[in-house]
Amino acid sequence: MTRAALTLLLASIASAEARGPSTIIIPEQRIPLRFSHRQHLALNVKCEFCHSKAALSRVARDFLVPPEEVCADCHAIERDKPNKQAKPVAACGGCHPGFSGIGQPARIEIPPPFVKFNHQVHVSRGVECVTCHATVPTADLATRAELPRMPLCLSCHDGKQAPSQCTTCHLGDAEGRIKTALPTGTLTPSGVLRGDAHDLRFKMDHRRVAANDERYCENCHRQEWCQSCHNGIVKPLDFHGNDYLSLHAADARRNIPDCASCHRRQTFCLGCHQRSGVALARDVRGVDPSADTTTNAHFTQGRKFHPEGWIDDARGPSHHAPQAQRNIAASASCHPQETCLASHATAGLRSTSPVGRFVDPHPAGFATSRRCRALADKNPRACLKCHTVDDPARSCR
Amino acid sequence: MALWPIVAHAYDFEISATTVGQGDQIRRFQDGEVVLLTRRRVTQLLGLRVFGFLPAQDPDSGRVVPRLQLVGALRFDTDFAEFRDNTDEGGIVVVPELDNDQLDVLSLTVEGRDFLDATTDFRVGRQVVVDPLDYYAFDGGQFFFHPPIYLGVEGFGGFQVRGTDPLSSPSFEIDGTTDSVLAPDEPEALSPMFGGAIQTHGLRDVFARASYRRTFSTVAVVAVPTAGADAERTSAIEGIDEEKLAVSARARIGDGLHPYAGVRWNALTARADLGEAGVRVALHPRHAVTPAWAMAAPDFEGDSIWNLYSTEPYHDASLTYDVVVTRAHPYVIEGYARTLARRYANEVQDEVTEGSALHHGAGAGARLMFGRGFARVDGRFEDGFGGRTAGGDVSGRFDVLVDSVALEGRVTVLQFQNDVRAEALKRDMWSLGAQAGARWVLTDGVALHLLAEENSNQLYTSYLRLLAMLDLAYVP
Repeated sequence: MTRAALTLLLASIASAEARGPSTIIIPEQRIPLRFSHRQHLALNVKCEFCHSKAALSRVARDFLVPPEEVCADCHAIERDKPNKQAKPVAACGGCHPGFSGIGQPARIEIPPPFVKFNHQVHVSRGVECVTCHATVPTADLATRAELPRMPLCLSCHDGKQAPSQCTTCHLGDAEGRIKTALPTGTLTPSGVLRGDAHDLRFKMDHRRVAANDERYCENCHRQEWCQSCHNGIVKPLDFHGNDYLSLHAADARRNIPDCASCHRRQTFCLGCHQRSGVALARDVRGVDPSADTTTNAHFTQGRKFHPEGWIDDARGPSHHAPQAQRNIAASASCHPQETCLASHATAGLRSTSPVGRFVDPHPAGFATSRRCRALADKNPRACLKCHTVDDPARSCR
Repeated sequence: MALWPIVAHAYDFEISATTVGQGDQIRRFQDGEVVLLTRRRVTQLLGLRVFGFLPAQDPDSGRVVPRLQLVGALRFDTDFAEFRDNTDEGGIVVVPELDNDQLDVLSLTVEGRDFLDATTDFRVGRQVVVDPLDYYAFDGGQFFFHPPIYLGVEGFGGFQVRGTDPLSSPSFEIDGTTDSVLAPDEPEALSPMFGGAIQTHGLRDVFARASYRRTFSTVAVVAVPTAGADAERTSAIEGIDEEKLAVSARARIGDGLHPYAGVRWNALTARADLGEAGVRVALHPRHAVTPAWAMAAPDFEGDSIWNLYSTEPYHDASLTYDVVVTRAHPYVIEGYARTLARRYANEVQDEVTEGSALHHGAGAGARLMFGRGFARVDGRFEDGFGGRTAGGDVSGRFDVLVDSVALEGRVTVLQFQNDVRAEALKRDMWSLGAQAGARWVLTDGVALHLLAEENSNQLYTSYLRLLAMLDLAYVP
């Protein structure tokens, strides 16, 4: 059972190779022919015998399907004898299914692809036809499915053997980025190369791609594009949906999505909360550290935001300590540092604060931890916000 | 004239301008009643791009053509909003992000690509950086040297953009402090920074990057006074604002497996404060499953006291399944759970175990694309830490006139409860929201967007939001 499941899994993964190229790049084609590449190659007919123009072709839109005259080199075609019996086949219907010789056969429709390709360069560098068209020798009619996919292209186009810039093959704009708005639709990654398919979840979880390789994204997107969402001025309505003002608090406490991707807690969040009365207002240069910031005094006329027991000495189920431990960023979105200093600073500040209580906020074992030494060594200014200069507790052990 | 021939260059350029007007209301929490404050905001964005400083080369030559360009994004934001005047509390500082009224240079760079035989890229000016270290901006220079050995080296240096710098966007303020009586000089402090990275380049199936950045500043603080003494400003003290090292890697195994992993080390707090790992498994061209793990610990600048609190990281596990029935029919189903610190333990060994330390949820969505638009349905349920949210929404777009007029809409119904509020606010609430919008492309490069959002829940019967956006683009 396990073996069967594994086999199925591997077969499924392998079958990913079988997917066709993007219809945005290579539009759907109509090739109403009966033809077997397999049979012709078995007869030792060389590719260039039929596709004589291919080696000289410099643009992808060139029509490289051989004309009837090429077929006629071997097939004794006579247009006035549409049902001619011959070997190899010479009747019209032999290659044009359903065509009896009256009128015109169904047309081949191969729309120009939205990609750059120079057969001449590849041939001149000794690239064999089957290197790119590997499935043709076993195929009957060659279709879009026999065209190479990007992973194959990138096995040579690696910046060393051949250029690896995206616009080497993709159509580019004046700025050198990939032209993604095409008449056939909007070009987006399939995910085959980097697992970055722009699917329904991509707006939420693109960090794993974008944060790791900015240059890759810049092949299609300008920095302006990123900033149009990440700069926090215009609410992206398909990201923060309806009524987000009411709903954002729970998301912010969970930090899903990561608020810091677009908003700074101590500017954007705190500012809006102060403006709307959710958080305590500041005077011109911040809150007086001696002010009573712990009793929700500013809400006494109205609603109290935090639950009962939030700042009690006895830690009940609604105490702020575990909440802050889980996501102190939520605290930073409503309070300046001085709010915490009022209760957590050492003796010096306590003496100036009517409500100050020395409650050590450090984690257990902090004084002997690497974290203490790192913080104290790299930026002693933070320590001086709570500790007096001569406070022995300021030293890590 | 013959001795000084003039060479005429034709430069390509693009100019785009976007004017955004927003009007909405926010709930005011004071005086025992719900009052809606009106906000009005006008934002003007200007994009400028000039290309083609260098002569074009024959595309058939097989050589990579170097590119040099000037790219800039500027913004002027004005907020006409009402806000609490706090006449009874001595006024309020409206933080720069909400009361900007200044020109922000979001980015303005001269960029070169593929110089020195396609081995060197550079960027000089104000630039935004996205990498595992952060999302930040700095004024300075960056180069990326990538010789054909599948390895590239990057170096950068300059001054990190602070919210109070002239012409800067407060969105890039280093987070963790705000105007403080204890550190009055912090906001204006110059923050030099430098860093570097080494990464793979040109490898099709493997990408790895290691990067380092340090930002520092030298300012005085108002030291906490000893009992009975007055507070005094210290002499300038050098301190590190941010120092991070990040390593990330990604690979492709066949067409079906895409594992990735990354971790960020915060040298200030001497701990890993960001981590992620996962693998996207394409079981079939149309089916993919992605198990993933992520970890994040609070991260503030070096001046912030919050770095030394007994805070703990959260761990996030998720499993996502997405299927593309056809290109026009993608579906996604996902489930996730996030564990948060369960115990509070500080220096004096106080311990409290309480409440939910788990957040969990599941969601599903589907999109149907058709010739002239799409329809999308999403549903989700989340519970645990933070509260409960359950519901979903239906959205869609329909092109009334192809490439000219489109209508959009979205209706949301959600039930939610915040689990940390005061009892008076801690109740099940229902929210009904609706959006309606239109996009009208008047002519090439001119588009007008209009959008209205109306919401209703137990806290207010009506909360209206209006947005109008005029997009202008000129490409000669």
